Amino acid sequence: MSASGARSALLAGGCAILLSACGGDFNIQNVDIGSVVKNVSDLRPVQEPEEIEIGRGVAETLLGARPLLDDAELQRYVNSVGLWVARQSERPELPWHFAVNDSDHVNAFAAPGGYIVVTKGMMRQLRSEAELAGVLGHEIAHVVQKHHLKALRKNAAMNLLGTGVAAATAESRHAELVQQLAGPAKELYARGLDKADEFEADRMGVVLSARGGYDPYGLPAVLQTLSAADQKDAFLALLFKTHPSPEARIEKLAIGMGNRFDGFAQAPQNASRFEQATRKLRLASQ
Amino acid sequence: MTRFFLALAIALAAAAPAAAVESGYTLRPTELKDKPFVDAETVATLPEKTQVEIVTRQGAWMQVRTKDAKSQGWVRMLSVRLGDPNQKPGGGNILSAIGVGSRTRPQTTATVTTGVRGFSEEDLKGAKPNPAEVDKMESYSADPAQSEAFAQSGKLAARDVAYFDETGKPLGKKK
Repeated sequence: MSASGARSALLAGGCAILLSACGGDFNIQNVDIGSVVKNVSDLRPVQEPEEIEIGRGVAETLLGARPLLDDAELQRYVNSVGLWVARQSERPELPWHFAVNDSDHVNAFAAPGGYIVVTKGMMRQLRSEAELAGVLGHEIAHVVQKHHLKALRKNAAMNLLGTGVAAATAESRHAELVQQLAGPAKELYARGLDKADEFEADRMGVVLSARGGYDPYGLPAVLQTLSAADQKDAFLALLFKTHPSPEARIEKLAIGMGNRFDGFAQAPQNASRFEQATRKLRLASQ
Repeated sequence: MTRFFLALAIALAAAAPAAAVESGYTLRPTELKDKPFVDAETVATLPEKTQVEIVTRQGAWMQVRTKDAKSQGWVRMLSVRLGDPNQKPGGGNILSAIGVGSRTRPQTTATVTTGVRGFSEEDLKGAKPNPAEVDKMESYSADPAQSEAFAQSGKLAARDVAYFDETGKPLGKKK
């Protein structure tokens, strides 16, 4: 297949996403397929509603691996911190959703469209709200920069999305989309993004937490915690496999941050509010 | 009744994990300052691999006490590495060793203990989509007004900060 042939095949996948994302108001019978194909050949980017539906599909798979932690107070708290930080980004109006899953592993995930999941194991490693804001800021940056969306679209498997269009209802279209996304999503979240995307998310995460008024050294502090961990620790295996080493991340942040954030020394860490919100988590682990 | 709550409070306090002291060591020769400022007075210069106990963190700074208890002050946070300089990397559960993981972390070994709630590569690969859990996730979402109030009660003031590139150069005029 020529390069341009491969590109249009990939774009046909993108077009299918559009159709399946249009939900109840969309009547497939009324679509001029010719014009859709034409629009697609103009390298049309994925529109926001499609991105959100893709993200929801990915989140269904992530929460399929481990469900939410049963702690409504903590879930609301993480949403409060997360939305506040996300509102400081270039995509403040996305429907941002945050969750803590019931996993002892230490990790955090972002899915397109504003779905962010942090593990219970990660929450237990944090000392303050500023550290949480740093972790969430890093994940929010992935969404703002559409890192996962771009990686999913690069994956040829997205061509399969085309078959989802024929389904009768919005609901069945979504189910089919999720089905077809599951494989590429699992592959992507097991392999990880490019290192450059992770370093960029670190730099942006620091800035987003600083914009939210937090001590911007929350994320570096979390990376320090991770750098002291046993590299063979099973609870960290997936995080370490899918990210550059914590030492490399700290080193890059140290260079990028320099002395620029010295003026934020009095910014709150809100450790006591964090401890209050996570107290059940800590009691449960006894 | 009061006695009951008192007993409960004592029981909870007993159940609460002891605040473990975090420790670390200097990655390079590091100036120990008497305050968390670049131009604060230098109390001492700690040689590389000086073992310290961490008292607190504040912005770019970490308040530390040397293990020999001879000096206390502030060092650049990123000049310190957590853990023990004499411990080989990968030798044991270091998260516990630094005092963080020991608060709450289950025992870990190279093989995951049974009963652990995993999110390993295998768990991910075996996942079946769970739309009901995403509905639940969406039900906890905050709205902008709540988020403003939450920030205010946490004394968080939004401010303009530019993104920066890998060399530290500020980027564009975004926000």
